[in-house]
Amino acid sequence: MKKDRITKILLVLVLLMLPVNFYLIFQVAPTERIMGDVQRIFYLHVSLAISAYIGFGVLFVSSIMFLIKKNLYWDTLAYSAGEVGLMFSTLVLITGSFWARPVWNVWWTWDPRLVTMLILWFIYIGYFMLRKSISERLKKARYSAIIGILGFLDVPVVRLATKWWRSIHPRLSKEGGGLDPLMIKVMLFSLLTFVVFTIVIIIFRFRVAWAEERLYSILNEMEEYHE
Amino acid sequence: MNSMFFLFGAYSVAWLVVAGYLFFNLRKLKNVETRIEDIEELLRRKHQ
Amino acid sequence: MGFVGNTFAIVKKDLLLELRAKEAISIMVFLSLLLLVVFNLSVEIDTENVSRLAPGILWVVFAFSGILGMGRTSLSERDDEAYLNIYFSSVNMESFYLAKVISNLLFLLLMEMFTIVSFVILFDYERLIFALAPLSLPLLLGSFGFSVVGTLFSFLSTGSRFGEIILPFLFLPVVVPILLGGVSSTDIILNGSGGDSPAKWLKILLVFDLLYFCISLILFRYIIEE
Repeated sequence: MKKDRITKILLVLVLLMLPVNFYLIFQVAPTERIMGDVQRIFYLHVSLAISAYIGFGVLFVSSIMFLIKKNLYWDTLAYSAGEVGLMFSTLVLITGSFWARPVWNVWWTWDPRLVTMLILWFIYIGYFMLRKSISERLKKARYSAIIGILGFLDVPVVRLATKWWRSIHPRLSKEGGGLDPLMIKVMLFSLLTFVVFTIVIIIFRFRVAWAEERLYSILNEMEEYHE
Repeated sequence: MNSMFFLFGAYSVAWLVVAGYLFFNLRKLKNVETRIEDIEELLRRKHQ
Repeated sequence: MGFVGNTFAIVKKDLLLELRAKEAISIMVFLSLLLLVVFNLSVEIDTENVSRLAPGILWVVFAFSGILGMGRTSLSERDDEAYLNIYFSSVNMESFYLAKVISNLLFLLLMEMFTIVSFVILFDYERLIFALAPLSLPLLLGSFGFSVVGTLFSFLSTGSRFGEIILPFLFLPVVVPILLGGVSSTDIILNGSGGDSPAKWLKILLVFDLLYFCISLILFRYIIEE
């Protein structure tokens, strides 16, 4: 199948890119003068954030597709991508803390980007809570698609609101200065690696989820047959 | 020294979680596949 | 009956029902009073800091009492099967949703007026009453946003095994822009923080309201459809 071949190519690609990415981050990228080696968290942290947004973006689009097509295929893709996005956003928050502690001497800072990520994290926790609490399969898909759509639309509004809110409640305002051109190149490679990586993980998660869906539908049919 | 702790902390937490997630899903996939095989086996025996 | 006629017929029915049962309103009003008392007991508030703390306390109370009260109004639809009757009597889904948003908005505004009066009495802060005219715009825009999102989500919660408990988890993260906008514009009106004008916050409230109103109007039919 053609789809299988694309997946395989992506998998090989990501397996090649990950070690290169590690090498670039730890060997090639210059050490930051003020922050030192700890600045290398940055490459991981930003890449994870992009991965989280890809996950939530796929969830958003598949939710719309589900409401149009009414096919559980799209709902399965939606929650698979959402789960991957939730995992990555959790890691964004954790690595953010590991970054903030040595650099700003705090575990958490109310930076607009961080706050937006935290709010999104809560929205998608709500998404999975709602899914868990509805037993009827199609209703679960429809209701959670609505959260998937509304939640993602909140991103720009939350981002803007927190940006303005911080401007009247100034807290920490240490922005990194200009980045070294080599650092930017390493950053871009890291981003690219994680984009491919995230797509591969979403495809993998989707396959697992789809196999489960098929198993449940077979079991349901068998039950109906026996009755 | 202290900053190294945070650097390696961040990378190891991130990769451990990702690896754990992939492992967990791999096990789930194996489990589902064996259950589907069991059902197919059952159906085959019934037809014979 | 046209779209507007239908909508107002349902609003009227809701208000009459509420006038008889007083379920949503009593939940909202008593919860907001209770929260104000809890705040007063747990946070040290005096004449010095009351004007700085007022915006935050007020909007937290509005959000919590609001969402729990709104959860009640959709449940009553399910309870007496009126829900399905409306579906089959071919009333337009959009006008049904709009009616619910309007009646919830009215309940919210009523609760907010009550909360503000209680706040003035319990916290001895008369200035709040005199600021009511400039506050009316953020209150109206914020409450409309609360109502738009809360009405939609309260219908989602009817399908959930967790019931209304799930509502705050869905509602509060989504309305963060309203909370920030409401608190900030109230703060500017009461304290004139930084010589800022509340206009830009009102703009964010307006953008949120319009965005969520249009999307919710489209999405509502997918909740009812079986």
